[in-house]
Amino acid sequence: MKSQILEMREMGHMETDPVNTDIRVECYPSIAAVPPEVWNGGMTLPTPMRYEFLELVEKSGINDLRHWNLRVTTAGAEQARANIFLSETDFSTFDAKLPPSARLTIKRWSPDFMTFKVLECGFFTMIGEGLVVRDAQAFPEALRALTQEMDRLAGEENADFLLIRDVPMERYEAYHDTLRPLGYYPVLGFPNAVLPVCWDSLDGYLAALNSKTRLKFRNSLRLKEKFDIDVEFTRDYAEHAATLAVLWENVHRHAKDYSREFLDQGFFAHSASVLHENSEVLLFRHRGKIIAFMLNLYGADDYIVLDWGVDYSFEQYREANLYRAATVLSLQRAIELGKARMELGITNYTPKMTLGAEIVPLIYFVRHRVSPDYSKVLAKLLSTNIAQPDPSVHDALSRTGAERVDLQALETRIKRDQCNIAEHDLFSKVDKYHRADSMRLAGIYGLYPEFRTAQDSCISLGEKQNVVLLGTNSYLGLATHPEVVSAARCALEKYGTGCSGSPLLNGTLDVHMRLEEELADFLRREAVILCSTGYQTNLAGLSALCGPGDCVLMDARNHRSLFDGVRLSGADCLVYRHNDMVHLKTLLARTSGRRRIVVTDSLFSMEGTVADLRAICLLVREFSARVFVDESHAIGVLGLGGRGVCELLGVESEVDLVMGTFSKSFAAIGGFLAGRRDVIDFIKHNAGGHIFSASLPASIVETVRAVLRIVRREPERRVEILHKARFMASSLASLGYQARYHGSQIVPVVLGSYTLALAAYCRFMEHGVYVNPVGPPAVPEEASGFRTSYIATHQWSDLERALEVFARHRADFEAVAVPVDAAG
Amino acid sequence: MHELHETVNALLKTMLGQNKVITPGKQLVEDLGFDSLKMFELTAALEEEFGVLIPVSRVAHIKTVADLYQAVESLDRYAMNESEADASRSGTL
Repeated sequence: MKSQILEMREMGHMETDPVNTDIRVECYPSIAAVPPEVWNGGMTLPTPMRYEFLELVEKSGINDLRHWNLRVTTAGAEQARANIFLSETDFSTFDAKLPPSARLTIKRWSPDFMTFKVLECGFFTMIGEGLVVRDAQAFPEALRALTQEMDRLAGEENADFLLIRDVPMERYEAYHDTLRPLGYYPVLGFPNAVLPVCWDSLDGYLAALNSKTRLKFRNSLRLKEKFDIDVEFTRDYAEHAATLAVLWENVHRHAKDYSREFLDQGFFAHSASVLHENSEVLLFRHRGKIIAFMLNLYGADDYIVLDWGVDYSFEQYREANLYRAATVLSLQRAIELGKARMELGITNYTPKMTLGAEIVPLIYFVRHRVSPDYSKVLAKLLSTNIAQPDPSVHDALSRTGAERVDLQALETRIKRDQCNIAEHDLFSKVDKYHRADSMRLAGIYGLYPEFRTAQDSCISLGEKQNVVLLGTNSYLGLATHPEVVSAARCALEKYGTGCSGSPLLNGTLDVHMRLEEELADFLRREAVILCSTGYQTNLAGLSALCGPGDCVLMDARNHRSLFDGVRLSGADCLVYRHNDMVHLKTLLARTSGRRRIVVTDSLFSMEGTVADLRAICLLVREFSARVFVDESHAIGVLGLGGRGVCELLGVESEVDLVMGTFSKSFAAIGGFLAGRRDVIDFIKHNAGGHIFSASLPASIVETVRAVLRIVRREPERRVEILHKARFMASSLASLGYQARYHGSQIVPVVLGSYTLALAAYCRFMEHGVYVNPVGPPAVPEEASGFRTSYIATHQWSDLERALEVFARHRADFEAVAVPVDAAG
Repeated sequence: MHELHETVNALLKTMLGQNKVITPGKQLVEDLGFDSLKMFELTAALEEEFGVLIPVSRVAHIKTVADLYQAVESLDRYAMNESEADASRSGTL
C-alpha cells in the first residue's frame, strides 16, 4: 500500500492519503492538537486510549517521552486510534545474568550501553493494545497504516527499535500475519494480572477464597484495630502530590522487577486534575502521617490499580502487609463501582496471584529499524529475560473457575514463529544462533582483532601501535629470534614451501625424523609422532588409542581438543570435577574391570593451575588405568629442563603418553605425542588425523628444532617468564584485582561476568593493553575475566605501562565478584 | 517418580541460581542457559544424588528436562564388566 504524504501545516498535523482507498491517517504530534470530543467520539475506546488518560501522560512530561496519536477515518467515519511514543529504554537491566556492579562498570565506559530509542505503540503507564479499530474487518489495513507511520516516525527520530506491545493471545494471529512479513519478531512480554469482578460484595469475594487466604485477607484489613492506621479513599489528592511522589519513589528504588517509568510530583498533580472524575487515591495514615497510598483509575468497566507507594520506615511495615490490604480495599471499591474487572498491571505477580488474579499473557512485536539481525537479538533478549510467573501454585480462586491459559503452547508457538528457517532445515541452528550479534548490538564485540605485527612484548593492532601484548602463548618470545627465523628461511630455500603429502607416504622429510628423534631425546621417551596442529594431535591420538567400550576419564576443564578427540573415538567419557582426586577415585572405583585411561591437561590453559599429577599417577597405578597428559602450555616453560609438569612433579616415568604443541613455546604450529615405541608405532599406522593429513612444512619443522636448541641452551628464559608472571600477579593483586600466581606463566584476572570481561577487553584494547577475555564454556561465569600470560621477552617498561592501565581502571570496577578459587 | 522429578528440579534451580520455572519441555541449553561446563557440573551432581554415571555421549542426547528425568530413571549403577560393556554398546548407553 503506497502512501503519499500531504502536509497540512495550518492544522499542525500530518496526513497520509493512501492511493487506493478512502482511508485517511492523521498523525498528531500531541493529543492537545485534537479536540477531546473528536478523539473520544465516533467509536468506543478502551480506558487508556481515552483522551483524558493520554493527556495525563503527555502533560505530566514523565520520562521525557515524545508522543504521537493516530486517527484513522474511512470515508469520513471514525475507524481507528493509535497511541505511539518514543522512549529511551535501558535494556542493560534486562540481562538477568549481568550483575548490577558489572553493569555499572560498563556504563562508566559507555553510558549508552544497551540503551536504545524505542518507538512503541502501546501505553506507557497502562496495559492495552495501542491500536484500536472500530470495525474488525478494517484491522489489517489499519495495522499496515500504523506500521507505515511508525516507520516514518522512526526514521525521522532516528529510533533504534520499533515495538508494538500488549497484544493479547486471541489477537496474536491478526497481528502476526501482518507484522511478521514486515520483519517484526513476536516475543512473550510481561503478562498482565487481571481479576474479573464477579461478586456483589467483598464478603462474596472472600467467601470464594480458600480458608487460609480468606483469613490472611481479613486480618490484613484490621488496620485500625491492630496498627492504628486510618484508611481513606479520595479524589482530591492534588495537595498530596509531593508526598505521593516520595512514597512512590521508595517503591521504585526497592523494586527488584524491571520498571522504567519515573513518576514525579507533577504526574500526581496532573492526575488529580486531569483525571479528577476517573481516579482516586487510597491513603493509609498513621497518626496523621501518610505512610502508604494506592492510585487507582477507572473507566467504563475497568478499575485499574496504577501505582503504589509506601514509607518503609513505618515501624510496623512488615506486620501490617499494607499492599495486600490496599489491593483488597481496591477490589472492594471496584465492586462498589460496579466495574467488571480489576486490572493490576505487570510485575510483582505473587501478591496479585494470591489475590486470585488471572495472569494474562501479552505479546510484543519487535523490530530493529534497519537490521534484521538486531531485530532477532532483541527478541531473544526479551524472550530469555522476561520470566513468566507460574500461577500453578496459587489456587486462591480455583472455586470461581478462573481460566488457566495454556502458556506452554503459546511459548512453543512463539518460539516457532521467531524462526526464519524451518526446524527440518540443517541451517536452522544458524538462524537460532544470536550470541555474536548480541555482542555487536551491545557494542562489545571485539573478537577477531587484526594484529599487524609479530607476537612480541608489544604489537600493532588495528590503528594502534605499541599495544602491550598480555595475551599470547608464545611464551619464550622466540617468534622473531634471528636464529629461529634464519633456520626457517634456510629450510624454505632448501625444501620449498609445503610437503603436500601424508607423512605415511610422500610427506616425510629427513628433518621430520630428526625432529622426532630430538624431541624423544629431550623428553626422555622412546619415540615421538608429529601431527600438523596441536588440536589435531589430540584427535589423532585419542581416536587411535580409544574406542567404543573403552572408558576415558577427563578433567572438567580439559581443553576442547581432548573432548573432541574422545568423542571422535567413540569411547565412553566420564568427567571428574576439576582437579578433584576424590571424584576421580570414585569414578575409577565405579568402573572397575573397564579399559580406562585418565586424560588431563598438565597446565590448565584458562586458569593457570597445575594438575595434581602425582595423585593421578598413584590412582592409575592403583586402579590399573593408563594416563595421558597434555603438556601444551607447559612444555618449554615448566620444569628445570623445560620438559613440563611431569618433570616438575617427578612423574615422567609413570605417565604413558605426553602430548605437546608447537604453537606456544615453539612459536610455530603442530603437535606431538611421545611415549613407548610400540604405542607410538601403533598410532603412526592407525591415527586418521595423522595419516590422512598433510605433514608440517620444512620451515615449521626447522623452527621447532631451532627453538628446541634454545630451550636446552637458555634455561634463564623459563626463569624469566615465571619471574614476570609472579611480579604481575602480585602487582595486580596489590592494585585490588583478583589475580593469583599459580606457579605458571598464566595469570587469570577474575572479573565475575563474561559480558563485563568482553566490555573490559574492548576498553583495555582501546587503552593499549591486549588481554584474552574468558568465560563460559571455558570457565564458569563467576570465573570469567581476563587471562593474562607472560613471555620471556616482555619488556619491563611495557609491563609497567600495562599496570598503569590496570591501575587507572581499578576504580571503575565495583567490588569484584566474591573470590573464586580458580584452582577449582 | 514424582519425587525424582522434584529432586532433579531442585538441583537445577540450585545450579541456575535463579528462580526459573522448570517444566519438562524446557530445553536445557536454549531455555535454561546451560553450557557444556554446567552440564558436567550437573552430571556430577546427579551422580552424587542418584548414583548414576552419565557418560558425555549420553549427555549430548539430553536436550530437555524430560530427557534428564529419563536419563536418571533409565541408567543403572555403572559397575559393569567388559561383557556388559559390549552389550551396552548397542543399547541404552
